Amino acid sequence: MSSIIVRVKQKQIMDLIAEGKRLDGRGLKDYREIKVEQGLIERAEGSARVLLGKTEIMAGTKIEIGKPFLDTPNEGVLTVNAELVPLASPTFEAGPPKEDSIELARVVDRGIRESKAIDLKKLCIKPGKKVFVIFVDVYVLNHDGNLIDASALAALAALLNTKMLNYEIEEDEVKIKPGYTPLHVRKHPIAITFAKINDKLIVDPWLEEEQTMDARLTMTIDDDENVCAIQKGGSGYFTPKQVLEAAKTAMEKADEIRKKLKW
Amino acid sequence: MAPFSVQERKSPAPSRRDIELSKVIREALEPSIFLEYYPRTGIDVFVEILQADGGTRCASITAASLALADAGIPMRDLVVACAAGKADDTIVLDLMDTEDKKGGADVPVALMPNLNAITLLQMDGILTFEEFEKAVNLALKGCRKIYTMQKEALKAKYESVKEVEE
Repeated sequence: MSSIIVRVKQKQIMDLIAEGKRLDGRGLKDYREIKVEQGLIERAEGSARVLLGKTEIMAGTKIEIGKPFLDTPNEGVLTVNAELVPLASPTFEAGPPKEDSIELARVVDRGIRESKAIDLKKLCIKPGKKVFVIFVDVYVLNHDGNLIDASALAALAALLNTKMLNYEIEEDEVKIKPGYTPLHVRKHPIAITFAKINDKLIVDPWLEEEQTMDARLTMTIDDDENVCAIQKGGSGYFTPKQVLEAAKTAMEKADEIRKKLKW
Repeated sequence: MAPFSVQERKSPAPSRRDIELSKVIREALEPSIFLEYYPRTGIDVFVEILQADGGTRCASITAASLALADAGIPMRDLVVACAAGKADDTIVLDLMDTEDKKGGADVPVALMPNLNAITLLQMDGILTFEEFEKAVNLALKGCRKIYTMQKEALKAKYESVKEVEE
C-alpha cells in the first residue's frame, strides 16, 4: 500500500540526499524532535513514553523475583521484549514475535547490557537461588521510522524511572518491606541509527527514508564515548570508511542527545 | 543449532538469538546475489551448527556463501566473515568461546573483498573509537585471508572434477 507512494517519492528522496537535503527539511545529520515523558503507567515499576518525530514508543518495566541463569548464579536477570502492535503500522500483524521485533528487542538489550548500565550483581538476592528479574517491555505505538533509537531511549528512560522493591532476608525467606528505592542506572547508552541512501549516510531515518535505504547501521554509545553495541541491518552494504565515519558521528550525536535530555 | 553443540543442552527449536542470527546472515549474503535474476523465486540457505566455539555466525556466512557459489548462483563476489575482539585489553582476531565469555568485546564483520563492501557488522562489549577502528581493520584482514582459502576450496572442487573426467 504505502510502498507505491514511496516508489514515486524514492527518486525525490535520493536526489535530495545527493544535494545534502531531506524531504522533511532536515540536514543529513539532524534528529527529529525528541520528547520523553516518564512515569505515566502507575502499575509499572517504571515507564516512559518517547516521541521521535511521529514515532511513538511506550516502555514499561516490571520486576519479579526469579531464578538466575545457570552460568551466572550471582547476577540478576534483565530481559528486553519488543512488541510491534498492529495499530502502529499497516505492516504490523498480531501474533508471535517475528524477526523484526526480536531484532529490535535484542539491539536495545545489547546496548543496555554491554554498556553495563545496570549492575546485575546488585540484583542478586541469594546466589544460585533468588535474584531480581527486570522485564523491560517496549511497545511501538506508532511507526514512522527509526524504531531502534526511539526504543532504546524509551527503555533507558523507563529504567531511569524504575523503583526497586525494598526487601530483607528473614530465615532464608525474602520479605518485602514497604517503600521503594530507585533502580541504580550507571550508564546512559544512546543508540544512533544511520541509513545509507544514494551512498550517503543520514541519521534518524523516518519511514519513507527507511523504505528507500540500502542498509542501516546502529551504533550504541555510552557516556564515555565508547561503542558498546553495533548492528547492521538491511540488504545493502557499507564501506569500511563509512563505518568509521558513522562511529565518529554517532559519538557526537549521542553526546548531543544526552546533553539535551540532561542524562 | 544442534542441541549438543553447546555446553548446556540447547532446545532444537530456534531461540530468539537464532532468529536474529538467521536475519543477519541472510542480510550479509543478500547483497552478493543477483536477486534481480530470480523474480518470484526463493533461495533457501540452511545452516546447521554442529559445534559452537565462538565465531559461529562468521563461519556460517563463509560456508553459506561458498555453498551458494557451488550451487551456481550468480554472485557479485563471495562473502567472507571473520571477527575481531578484545580479550584482556588486547585486540585479537577470531575470539574463541572462552575468550568471548571474558567479556571484552566482539566485532563480527562480513566482507565482499572485491567490492570492499561490509555486509555484516555487529558488536557487543566496550571499545573506544581507536580500539574499534583497530578491531574492524584486523577483522577485515582476517576476512581477506579466509577469502583466498574460499577461492582455493572452490577451485579445488572443480580441479578434482576435471581429474575424474580425464
